[in-house]
Amino acid sequence: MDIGAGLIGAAAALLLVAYVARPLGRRSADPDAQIEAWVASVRQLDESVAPPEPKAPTETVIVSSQEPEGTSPSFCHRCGRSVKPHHRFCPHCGQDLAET
Amino acid sequence: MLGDLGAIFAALALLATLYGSGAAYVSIRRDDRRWWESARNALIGAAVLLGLALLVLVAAFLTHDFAVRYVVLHASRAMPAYLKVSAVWAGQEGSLLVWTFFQASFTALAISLPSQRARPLVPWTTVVLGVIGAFFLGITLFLSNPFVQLSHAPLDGQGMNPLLRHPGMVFHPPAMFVGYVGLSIPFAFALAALIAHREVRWTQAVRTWTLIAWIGLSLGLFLGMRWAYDVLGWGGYWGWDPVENAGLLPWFTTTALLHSAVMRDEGRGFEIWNYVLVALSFVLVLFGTFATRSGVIQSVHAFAESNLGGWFLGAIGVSLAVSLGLIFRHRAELSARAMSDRLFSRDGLFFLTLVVLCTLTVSVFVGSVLPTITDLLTAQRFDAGPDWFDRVTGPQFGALLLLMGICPLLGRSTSVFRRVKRWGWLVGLGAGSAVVAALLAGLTKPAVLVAFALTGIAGTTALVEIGDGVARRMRRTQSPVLNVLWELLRLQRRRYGGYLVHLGVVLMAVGVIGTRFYPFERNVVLTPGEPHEVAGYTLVTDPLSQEIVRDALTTSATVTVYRDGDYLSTLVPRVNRYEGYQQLYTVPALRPALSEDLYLLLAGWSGDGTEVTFKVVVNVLVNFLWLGGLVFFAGGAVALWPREMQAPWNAIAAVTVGLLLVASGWSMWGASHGMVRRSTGRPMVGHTAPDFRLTTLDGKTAALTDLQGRIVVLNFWAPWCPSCKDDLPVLQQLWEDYRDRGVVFVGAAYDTEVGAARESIATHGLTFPVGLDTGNQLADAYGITGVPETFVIDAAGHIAVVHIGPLPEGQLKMQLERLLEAE
Repeated sequence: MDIGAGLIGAAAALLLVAYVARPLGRRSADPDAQIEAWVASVRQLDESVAPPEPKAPTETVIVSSQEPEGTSPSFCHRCGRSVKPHHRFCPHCGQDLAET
Repeated sequence: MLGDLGAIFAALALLATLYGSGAAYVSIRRDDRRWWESARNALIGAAVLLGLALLVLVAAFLTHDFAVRYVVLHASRAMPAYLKVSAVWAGQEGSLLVWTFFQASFTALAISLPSQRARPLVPWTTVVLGVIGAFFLGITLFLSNPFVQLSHAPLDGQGMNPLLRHPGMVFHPPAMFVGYVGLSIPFAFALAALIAHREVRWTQAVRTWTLIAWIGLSLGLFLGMRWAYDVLGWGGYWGWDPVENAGLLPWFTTTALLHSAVMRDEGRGFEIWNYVLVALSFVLVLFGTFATRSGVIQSVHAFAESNLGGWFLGAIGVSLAVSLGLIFRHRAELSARAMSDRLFSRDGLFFLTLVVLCTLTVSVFVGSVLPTITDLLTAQRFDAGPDWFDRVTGPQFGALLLLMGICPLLGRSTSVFRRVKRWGWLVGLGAGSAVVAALLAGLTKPAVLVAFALTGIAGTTALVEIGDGVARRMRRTQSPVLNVLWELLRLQRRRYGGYLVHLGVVLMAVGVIGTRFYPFERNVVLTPGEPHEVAGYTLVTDPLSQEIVRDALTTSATVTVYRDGDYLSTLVPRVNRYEGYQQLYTVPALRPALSEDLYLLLAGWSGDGTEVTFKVVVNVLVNFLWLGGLVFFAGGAVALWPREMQAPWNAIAAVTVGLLLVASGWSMWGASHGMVRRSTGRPMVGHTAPDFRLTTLDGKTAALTDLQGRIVVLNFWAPWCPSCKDDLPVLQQLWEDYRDRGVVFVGAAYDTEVGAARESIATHGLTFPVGLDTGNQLADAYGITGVPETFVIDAAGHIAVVHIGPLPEGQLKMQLERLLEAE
């Protein structure tokens, strides 16, 4: 075995182990829980700060792909993709949804 | 040094992959995201390490590190650099290393950047892909290691198999690997969905990967066809060889998968189909590798037999058992949504399409394994030849064309036949015009007319779909045609990309029909200088020439092609013989035209060079095949085009893929195929000699029109040409003998200057008129391919004799006598 190759290999192995082990060093299993814990601790530090007024939903909500809870998606009968109840034309293929 | 380094990188990659698979499993068991992130890092690390290992192997080739056994076996110092790079995948060990690199990179990309929908599937996908990656890496490292070193490095390597010395070989294998490896990604996601999240629409989640794999596979097969056409020297592009079939089998099932996924996405069931097809595609990739690497199935591909067969057989068994077992366990859930039971509906015909694609798969599979199985079980071996495959698959391809023609027209819900009624006449017209076109072109076999009708139906339907979509949108948006077309291609990539692919397939079908139904192949023996009629062409060959280029002895023939006495082109087919290889590398010469390719191969020659054998192949309509490919991949590109070009990665990827496509196209079609185009060719014997007007060195003018009624000997020579030195004294002697009998000698000094010409004239004591052929005008008019060449023009101004190369002893004298007698 060549010494140089061995040294380069050892360095690569060290880098690999460090990279692989990094996520395991984090304290909490769930990053979301950790963020919530941070937020809670910040709130406790300053109780006097009131939570900001929730903003009114903007136009973008209409075109976002997030389904509102509870409404069942309907489908365009031409292209078969999901459309919202308030759509008059299919946003994917342009089919007039009032047609049938 | 390089060998050690590569082996270390590969070994570390194997450890990382194994760890990644295990850590992903731990993350599922403990429901702990940290373990999955660690697994992801390990798999990214494995991809980087394998990339480094691959670079090390490339470096070993470029620096001629002949301590590495694989380099010795596949390269030599004389090879050009681009061939040294493609030598990396010239053998099994290197191919497997490239495979593992692709596997690791695709894995890292698929699990790091999953689509929104695919997120829940990622942990199990990581486990499965880790296992697959580790399998291939283990095989590479322990059974087929490219980094094995020799104790004593030889001074030079053995060089590359001549058949692989084609610039296109840089692109064909990687494209196949993209297809093969790409298929493991949807397979892994499907398994993950089966194991834990059957509610997830995995076909939509991995659509991009399925498309990438399918396009890679298509491109690999297509480039392979062109390579076969160019190199293997049998004049065809598809020989139903087991290795070709091994690539075609997963292509059938993946094509079926793309279609069943459309049905699933439209909410029409087909869930079980998706799972079965993705599992079949992956298993068929393994089968292809098994078939070609185990030596079980005989093939023209020059892969060495190896001991990997058993391992791949085991992998096939495990993959089949796991995937089919899971599908069987959840069968009730998966078939919950029944398909429509009407045959003439969108569902019904899609179902038929899948069935035909599956029977095609089975047919080709049976044909590929039949020789082996009959050999094992019975005394008599049954060899399924190309005819068998053509007969069995031909009607099925026809059925596919018909389905392509009907299916898109059927309505999606209620009024199934509304659009068929509306457009039926146009489709019928399309079919009729295709038949009429075939009849006008002289293609009259009944089966061919049926086939053309089918292409007409399928082609018109694809055009109607595109045209109808454009017309409707134009009515709505009032924008110009091109804008609308562009918008449609942009907004509904998959739909209109799909129709473009259909159009491409139809064009390719035209090429296949022409070549399969009207094969023309003949061996002809030509004597240099004498015209030979074959397939409507007249061929005249010059004497053979041989030269040594790098490590090969090149023998080439220059053949002038005429049709009805008119010059068409000059073709130069070659044969290269490489040092140390028995196999010859033939470079065919092609004269392409839309109606047919004239394909010329140098097949052999007699020892004294007086007889040269050519294989003449005429491939009717073959260029429709290549044109169809262009449309096919344009459609594929449309379907794959990223939605968001703003994202820099998408733009970079698109540009890279585009450049690679252009480069691969150039490597296969751009390189010259031995055809020389000139405005004129050498006039044939019996035809009118081109007029000339030459100013001789003593200031007079020699013009053919002034010499009417006299026999003219026109000799092209040059002071730098050795064989001209032998000819000039002979010509001088003949000039002295015949000048009194009305024969005129004219010398045309080719590609030289006055001083050198005068010196030569003085040395040889020439007294017949010699002129300088300025700008090679005269040489071009007479289409000469070298010096010396001698033309004898009779009293009526027709070419009587053509001598290419040195004058044979005494022959010109005899010919002059005969001409004078005839007067």
